[in-house]
Amino acid sequence: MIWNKKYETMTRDQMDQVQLERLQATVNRVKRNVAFYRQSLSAPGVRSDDIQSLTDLQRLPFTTKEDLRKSYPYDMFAVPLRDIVRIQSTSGTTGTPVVVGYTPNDLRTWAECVARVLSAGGMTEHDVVQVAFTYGLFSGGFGLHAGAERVGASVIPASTGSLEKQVRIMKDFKTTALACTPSYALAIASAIEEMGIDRRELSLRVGYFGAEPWSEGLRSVLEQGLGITALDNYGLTEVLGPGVSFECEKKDGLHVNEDCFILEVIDPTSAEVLPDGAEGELVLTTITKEGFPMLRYRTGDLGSVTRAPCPCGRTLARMSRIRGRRDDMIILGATKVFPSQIEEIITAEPGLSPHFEITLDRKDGIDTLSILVEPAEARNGAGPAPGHGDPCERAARKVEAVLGVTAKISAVEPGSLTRAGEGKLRRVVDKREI
Amino acid sequence: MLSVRNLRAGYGSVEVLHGVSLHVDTGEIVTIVGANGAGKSTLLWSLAGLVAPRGGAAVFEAKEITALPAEAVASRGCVLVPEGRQVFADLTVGENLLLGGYLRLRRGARRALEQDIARISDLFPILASRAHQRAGTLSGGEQQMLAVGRALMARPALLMLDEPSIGLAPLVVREIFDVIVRLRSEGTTILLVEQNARAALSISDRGYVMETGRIMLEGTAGELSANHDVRRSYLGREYRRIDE
Repeated sequence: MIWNKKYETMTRDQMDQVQLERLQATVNRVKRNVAFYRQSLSAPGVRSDDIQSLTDLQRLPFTTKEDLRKSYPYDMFAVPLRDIVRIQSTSGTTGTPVVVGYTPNDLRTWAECVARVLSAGGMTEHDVVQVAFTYGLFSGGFGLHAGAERVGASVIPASTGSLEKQVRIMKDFKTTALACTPSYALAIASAIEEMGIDRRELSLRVGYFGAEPWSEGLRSVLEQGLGITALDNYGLTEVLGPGVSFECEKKDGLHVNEDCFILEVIDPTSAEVLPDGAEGELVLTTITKEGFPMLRYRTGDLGSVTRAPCPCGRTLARMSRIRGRRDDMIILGATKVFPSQIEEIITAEPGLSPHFEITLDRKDGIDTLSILVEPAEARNGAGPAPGHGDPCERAARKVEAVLGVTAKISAVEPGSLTRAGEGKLRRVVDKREI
Repeated sequence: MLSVRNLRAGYGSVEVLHGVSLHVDTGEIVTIVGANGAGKSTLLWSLAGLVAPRGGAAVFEAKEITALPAEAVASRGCVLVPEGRQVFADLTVGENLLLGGYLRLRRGARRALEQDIARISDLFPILASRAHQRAGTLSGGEQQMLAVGRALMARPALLMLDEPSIGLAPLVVREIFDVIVRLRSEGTTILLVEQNARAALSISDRGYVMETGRIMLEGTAGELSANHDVRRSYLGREYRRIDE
């Protein structure tokens, strides 16, 4: 279902006009209201007065995470604090957190963007939505909550916490839609099995998963395990929170809410803008935000963009699913690997469960990659999965063949690895720097 | 219906519009809100062909109208109701209306014009009862109605109104705005420039905020009314009483 026919299906010409108008207005506003931009946009050669087309955006300087950290907490706000009605923040696990403020209009826009995400998965007022994102400074909980309310669904603010409680709510409240991180969904799926609940006792139909990169392999695990359609959505607190882009039922790329964001893909090294289809770092410009506008924010996420029409009827550009965030990239010698690529291989191996943990270490100056993984018994409860030989060895051979790195994969007891709890799961332990 | 990109215009050595982009979709009422001197009137004049743009492009119904002479813009259905009415004071109300259809009269559409006068009299009954009175003797509100009626005689697809509420009593403002809403429901698209932001936004679908020749904000009428900057600058308490 298409939530906003006007913006989700407008012609490219119309969208160009909307984007240009809003980009010009955003540049005019941030130059007046944000000291950082007043300075960076006045640099020679930027000519921010003269943005005549969307291509002229390329003249503007990037905004980096470092810039945002330096502005901690409020220096990037484009309106006085009295006009801000909500504050969210990034977790700050990798440094100073980024604090983001929302005006009443920003909250409205946010709900609108998320309503499109949910509507694309068929959500209506008849759905019961379990929002199992942490409610707090992390933008996931409140973002999904507001969008689901906008759609008119019955929203259960389950937040995170006891898996047993999640499953009980899911069963008793007849939850039809689940919104959480993919790793938390996996933990819920395992809990359902462990509790001996038949998934036919559940009313679950669709899952909206985001906030972490996840693989096609995990998608089929979740779809089978929970009996749902599993859809990806993307967003980041620095530009809004959830609601930047979303999959429709075709599951062929994430539609970008282009009336609110301009997406560019750049070469992460040279910072040159790349043509459609080429993979690079995603760069986002907000064009409706009042409280915390961002020009050319370097997300650190890697993907590509296509403007080919989607059979669903939306004309919004689509970005590829995120293979990984630049920060998550595992660099082993000269090879780069994303945890999601390893996930893809492990979830494709019938003898292994999707629960795994990656450890990086250094021995005699050589980087090593080892993976602990739970075998598949816990998943189907029917003894070891069929297949010849050791599933760990098979997976290791595949990692070597596909990703070009040597991995030592060992099985551990079912249930012994950490499940996703609060917020995002950290799957990679890097001991090399310690 | 109308899309404008990077429009620049000015007078002598002074540039007043610094690259304005906006659009109006068919059937919309769009308001441009801004303080005195922001460039709102210059924008309408340059769209109407009264001021020559120095850059940028305006496309109306898929055809470029940038730098067309005023009568060519009007004959394509993009018609301006200027600020301060500008009715012909020495002519009668009826003559003023007929002049509004001048471009069509030359094409021999007299019968259709008479039908339009009947329709306009229906819209503004006061004009019918004063048809033979000199326009200069009308009240401000009546002159504004005449100015709108005269513009309608050109059968505009897009009606651009420059400060239609200026200098009018609150009740008359309401009446003018009711007519604008009715025109839209009968198929005319509206681009409205107003200092009375509250009244204008109350009947609009979307709007733009203009400051010193630049667009600072675009949004639905609801979004603009909820924006704190707009509220502080344009929706002060003095405006509240005019339409509420």
